[in-house]
Amino acid sequence: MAEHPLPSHDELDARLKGAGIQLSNEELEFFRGAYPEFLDQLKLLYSYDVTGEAYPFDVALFQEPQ
Amino acid sequence: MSQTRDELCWMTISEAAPLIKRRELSPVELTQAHLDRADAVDDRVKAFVTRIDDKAMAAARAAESEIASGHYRGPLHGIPVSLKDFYDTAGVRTTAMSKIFADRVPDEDCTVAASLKGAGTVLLGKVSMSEFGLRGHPTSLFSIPNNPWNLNRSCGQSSSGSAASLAAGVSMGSFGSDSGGSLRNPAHSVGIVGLKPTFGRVSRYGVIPCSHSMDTTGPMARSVADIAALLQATAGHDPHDPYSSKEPVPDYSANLNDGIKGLRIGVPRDYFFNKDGGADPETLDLAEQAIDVLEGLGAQVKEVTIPSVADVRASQGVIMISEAFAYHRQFLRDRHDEYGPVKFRFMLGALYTAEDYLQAQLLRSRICREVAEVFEQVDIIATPSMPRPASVQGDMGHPFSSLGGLNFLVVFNATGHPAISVPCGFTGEGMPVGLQLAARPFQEAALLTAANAYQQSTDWHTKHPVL
Repeated sequence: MAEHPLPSHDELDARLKGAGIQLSNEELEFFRGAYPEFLDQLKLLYSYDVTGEAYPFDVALFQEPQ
Repeated sequence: MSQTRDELCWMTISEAAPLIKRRELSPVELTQAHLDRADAVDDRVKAFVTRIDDKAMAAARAAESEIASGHYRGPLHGIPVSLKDFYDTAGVRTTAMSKIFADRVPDEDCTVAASLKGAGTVLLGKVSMSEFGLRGHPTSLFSIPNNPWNLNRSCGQSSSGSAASLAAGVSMGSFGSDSGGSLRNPAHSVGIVGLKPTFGRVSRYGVIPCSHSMDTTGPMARSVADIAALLQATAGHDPHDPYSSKEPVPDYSANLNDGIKGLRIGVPRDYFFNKDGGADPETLDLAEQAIDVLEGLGAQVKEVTIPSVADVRASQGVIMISEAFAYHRQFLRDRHDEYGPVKFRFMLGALYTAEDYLQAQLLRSRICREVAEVFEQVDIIATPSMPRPASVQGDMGHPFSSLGGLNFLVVFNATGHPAISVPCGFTGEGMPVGLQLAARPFQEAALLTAANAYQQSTDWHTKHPVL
């Protein structure tokens, strides 16, 4: 599987701003402390070659009782 | 009445119920005993956020009067309980421990509160939790509870007040919620029993959401038999909850004492018992000893593997935070100064894309298939509940430190399977730890039979902290 492109820190800043959340410079600096772990999490997530349709649960789980 | 106040407060529901039914124990005395004990110990434990003493005593008197006139409703009639401050209660403040909801007083009971009321329970009040149900950093409202076994230790996250109220003997049953281990973690941390039922088994209607595809409401108590009674009163279809199942509700107490001879128990040792993986070896040893007890009772124990389990956090975390952000988005835009540090974790939800969310759901589907395959070979999966005992109070790490790391609970949030934590011993420092058992979807009865067999052979659940 080709490596999934990960967003830059600037792009993550832009996503937060795009969501309409305004932080002070001090709070933004604190929040940016999460970016390395956030990107590691995405890297791990995309290390899995999973395709198709997402069925969160076993299909039988929510079948109506017979 | 021959029991002392504390003897009354340490009774289980299944011990008190027959006495109440025979009118040998008064719901009024039982309720008063719990309120008195809360007066005596809760300034140190801090389980309660809102106490409703007058309403509780009125409910207890009504229960006593009903029973006296021959209208006994069942095993929860006259039993004092508490509810996590996530559960809407008509006329009683429901805050989620956040300034955002500091003055929020619902008009309507959530379905669980209504069911418990219908069963005749006596609500003592609302109990503490981590703000909006995420990791237990200081909340923006009130303090977080202290562990009754060691007041300098945490009660775990996030149904901490429910767990503390039971371990401290100030309520007999409670309800927590579990989207990422949030009721099993506190149950493990304070040495009580916590059941996360199958997703869809118990209604979430009127419970403040965290993650709509994983939120699960469930009972907490000091014995497995009590869990069965609390589940019985609340399980079943609720048209107000779109994920509520129509699966029939069995009698959860009918087979509690059937034993586990021949039960097939799978133990995924490669991940959950890896002593080089960062877990506390003593905690793992106690869980291993508990599995030996189950084997001694006739269960067949075999090793199993869930190949992707180590990475389930990557999937569960993205899904939970994305869904939580959808609920909190407007508050985070307009009122984020009113949150505690938890706001930074919710804000991560603004960073995920639709592609990330769907990739997480696809990985979740894969893990669901892997767990389903294990359940083709075994009836129960057994693991330690947590990698280590309760942490030092306040030592919660950075708000983002939980994005990865070892976690034994979230796999069953991702898959929706029922899972229970039962006390299985104490570390050398005197802190309780739990054994996690999981079963196939809607097999709570089998799960409770296994957990009860363990509890009948051990006495961990009968030990109480000195406060």
